[in-house]
Amino acid sequence: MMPRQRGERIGDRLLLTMLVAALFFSLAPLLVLAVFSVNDFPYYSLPLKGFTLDWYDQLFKDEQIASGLTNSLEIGILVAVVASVLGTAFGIGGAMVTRRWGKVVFAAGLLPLVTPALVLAIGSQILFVESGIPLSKLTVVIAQATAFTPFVVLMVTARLGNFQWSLLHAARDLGAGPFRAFQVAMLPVIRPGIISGFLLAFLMSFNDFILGFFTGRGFFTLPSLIYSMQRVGISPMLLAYATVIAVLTLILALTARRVLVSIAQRRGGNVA
Amino acid sequence: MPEAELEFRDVSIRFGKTIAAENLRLEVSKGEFIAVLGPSGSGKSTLLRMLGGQMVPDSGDIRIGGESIVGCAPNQIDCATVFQDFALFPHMNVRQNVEFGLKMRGWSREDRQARAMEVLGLVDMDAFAERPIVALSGGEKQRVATARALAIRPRVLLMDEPLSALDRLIRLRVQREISNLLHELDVTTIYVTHDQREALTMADRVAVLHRGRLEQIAPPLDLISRPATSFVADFLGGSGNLFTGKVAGQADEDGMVPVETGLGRILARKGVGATANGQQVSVLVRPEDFSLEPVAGDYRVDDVAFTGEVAEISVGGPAGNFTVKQLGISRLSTGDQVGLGVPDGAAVLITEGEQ
Ligand SMILES: Nc1ncnc2c1ncn2[C@@H]1O[C@H](COP(=O)(O)OP(=O)(O)OP(=O)(O)O)[C@@H](O)[C@H]1O
Ligand SMILES: [Mg+2]
Repeated sequence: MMPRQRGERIGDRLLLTMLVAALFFSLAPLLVLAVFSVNDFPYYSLPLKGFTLDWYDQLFKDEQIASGLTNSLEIGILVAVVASVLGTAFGIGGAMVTRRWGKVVFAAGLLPLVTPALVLAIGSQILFVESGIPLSKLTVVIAQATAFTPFVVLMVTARLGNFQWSLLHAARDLGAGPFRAFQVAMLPVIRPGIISGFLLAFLMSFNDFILGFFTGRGFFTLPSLIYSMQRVGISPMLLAYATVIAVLTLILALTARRVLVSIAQRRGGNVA
Repeated sequence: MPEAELEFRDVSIRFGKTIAAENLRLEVSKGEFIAVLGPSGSGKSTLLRMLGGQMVPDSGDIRIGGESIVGCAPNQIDCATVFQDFALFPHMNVRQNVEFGLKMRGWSREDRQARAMEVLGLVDMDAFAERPIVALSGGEKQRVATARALAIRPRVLLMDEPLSALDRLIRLRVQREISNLLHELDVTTIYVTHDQREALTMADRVAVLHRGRLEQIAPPLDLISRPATSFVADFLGGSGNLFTGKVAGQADEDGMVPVETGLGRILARKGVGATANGQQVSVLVRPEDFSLEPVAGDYRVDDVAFTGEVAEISVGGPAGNFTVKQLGISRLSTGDQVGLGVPDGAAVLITEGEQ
């Protein structure tokens, strides 16, 4: 092993310090939430009064929260399905485009990625209202699917960056029909992209407030419910909610990563 | 006369202004090994893609076993391709790759497995059956790809530069193995390459393509000794030894024609086409066929390069510049004056423009 340089060691230490700082600043708010969510006192003040799980108990018993959760799950799953089907199709199409104007059109299709959510939300609302479509869960699904499909597209095209197109020809050549050829030659390559795209779309839908607020009427999703509840003061029950969501998201993200890694290993590919 | 196994009838295809095939006419008999040779962009891969059903010709007909395949889907055509990048399914192991075509044909699991092991045995890869594709070397991938194509017993085997991804030494060995195996199995093969050595050593006949046109199709020896066009001569003959002359008499019984050239009057072999007295023709002399006399002559040695077994000598003089090859080590050195001659029968006439 090479003897390590002094400068390198200082660099390492600097990097580590920055990493710890970054972790601290991004996790601190969550920690604060978590701590106060088990505090036996309805207001936020130090010192802590005592440990309680009452707020969690309230949270899980609350009927409004339960119906908000159902709505959010329903919408989230629908959006994730629609976005991953469309995103996969567009991603493959985009990867096949070679002409320059085709690439421009494709890039234009990805614009929702960089458009502020508020603009998308207001735009969608105007579109629905002006074309006489009543705002409902369906309109939320449409608006969110439009906004989140590009993320799936990105995930899928990333997998197709160095795709061996001859695999498709080989499958056809050996007797597979078009669908079978796709299934055998391309699907295994893009599957991790589709799965992460699906999870991403679900998480973004689940956490979305703005699109749901502007394009839905007559029901609450979890985020819109929380929004309306906090107007009368933030009950520690909401902190319990935030903590649960943060932990669930973390678990989902970690398992997604593990699922992808194991798929990739089984397929003999890599996750990058 | 039996029906040709594979036939191209005036096949043409173009992409915008690019002509990738122009009136291709070609008949291949059962078990024949045809090498398709030509520079980059000459339409070699296009020819294979039309055969495999990936592309449809603009006009003309392609027949396998007497039946037209134009317009058929790739999975309906009885061809199998070995791709340049091998196109092995990365998420399947070696055996599963080889079994794939059989699976598509509805073979039972046991039959598939037996057949896969059989063809893997043919290419000496049966010990690798359960290996993942990523764990194979280039040469091993090549064998698996060949086995996968052979497994379905295709009527015609298509190979698109199957050895270009391998390094030189392996390539030389695999060339022999493939051509032996395919001849043994009596598989009709269309083998695309831009390596002339590969084409000449492996094939029964070599088809030379140039800008989508078939310049010549002939057995390797004929191609070298009687190139039909100056393109073929140039492409196969190396550089600098094509020059012009004028026919100065009739051909004798042995097919020797007197020609007046810058190198004097020579006796050249008759080429592929007919010649008439007084006609302007091209004359090809292969570098190894010149005679160099180490006497003070009209030609000056410009360079002597020793390339392993042969010395490559560049000379210049009244009739132009020529490349001469001599076996072994040459005693000549740069600046020497030498005499350059063409022995009787060393030159061949090229009369273009037929067809
Ligand atoms: N799908 C296509 N669209 C447009 N042009 C094409 C297409 N396929 C081939 N061509 C053009 O047709 C010509 C012949 O291509 P082809 O791939 O058959 O050449 P090749 O002889 O195989 O060359 P190489 O040795 O480089 O593989 C080229 O000029 C190529 O650019
Ligand atoms: Mg090619």
